[in-house]
Amino acid sequence: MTSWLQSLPHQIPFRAASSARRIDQNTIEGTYLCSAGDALSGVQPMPMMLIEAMAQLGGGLVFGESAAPGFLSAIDEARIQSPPEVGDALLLRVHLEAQFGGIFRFQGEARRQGLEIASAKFYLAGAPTQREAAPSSDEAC
Amino acid sequence: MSNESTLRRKLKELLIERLKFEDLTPDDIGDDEPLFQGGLGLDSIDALEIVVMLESEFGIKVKNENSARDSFRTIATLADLVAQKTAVEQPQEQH
Repeated sequence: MTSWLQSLPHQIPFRAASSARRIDQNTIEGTYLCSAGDALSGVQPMPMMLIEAMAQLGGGLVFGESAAPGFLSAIDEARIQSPPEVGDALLLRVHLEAQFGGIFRFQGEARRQGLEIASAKFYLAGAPTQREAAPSSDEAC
Repeated sequence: MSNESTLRRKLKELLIERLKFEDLTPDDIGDDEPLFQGGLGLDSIDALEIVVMLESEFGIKVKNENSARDSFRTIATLADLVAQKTAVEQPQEQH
């Protein structure tokens, strides 16, 4: 694996994050670039894409080296104070809070120029992985 | 109220709070009512929340899914686990 981006469960055109960088064993950061093409409805980008991007980053963190798929199982306490706008470069930070068996609980947040604009708790389900063997920090765009 | 009853009620209150059963009261949950299959109908995500609750409230770390399957069966079995683990970690003073 040459990049944490390659560890994400979705790739172009379904990958939401434009960069990914592991901070430590339980934390990963990424960037969500909001382009005009994200405004699928013709009005404005979908705010839920931020949560999807967080979930993809979490999937890269815990399932990165596993061939087994992971699934977004639940979203809780999602708050979007300000929807993404075309031209945004949002910093996403996802932290693995807890794991039991194949269930993983994360806390994610999105920031625009340092200000938090969205946060959510979410769960991924999949086979337990040997996360100690995860690759070292890497970044790509 | 005995220590056992107090512990069971405390666990019911914690489950209601952590799992956001806003329509339930501790009296609605039977001590021997199944928590997962049937009964309250909890799922694997709820099991993770119970694991987190046990660690934060009682300092009990549960890592083995198989042993958890038995201990998480009912409020009574969950209380037994807490009583057993906390007794081991806090041995009685010898006089």
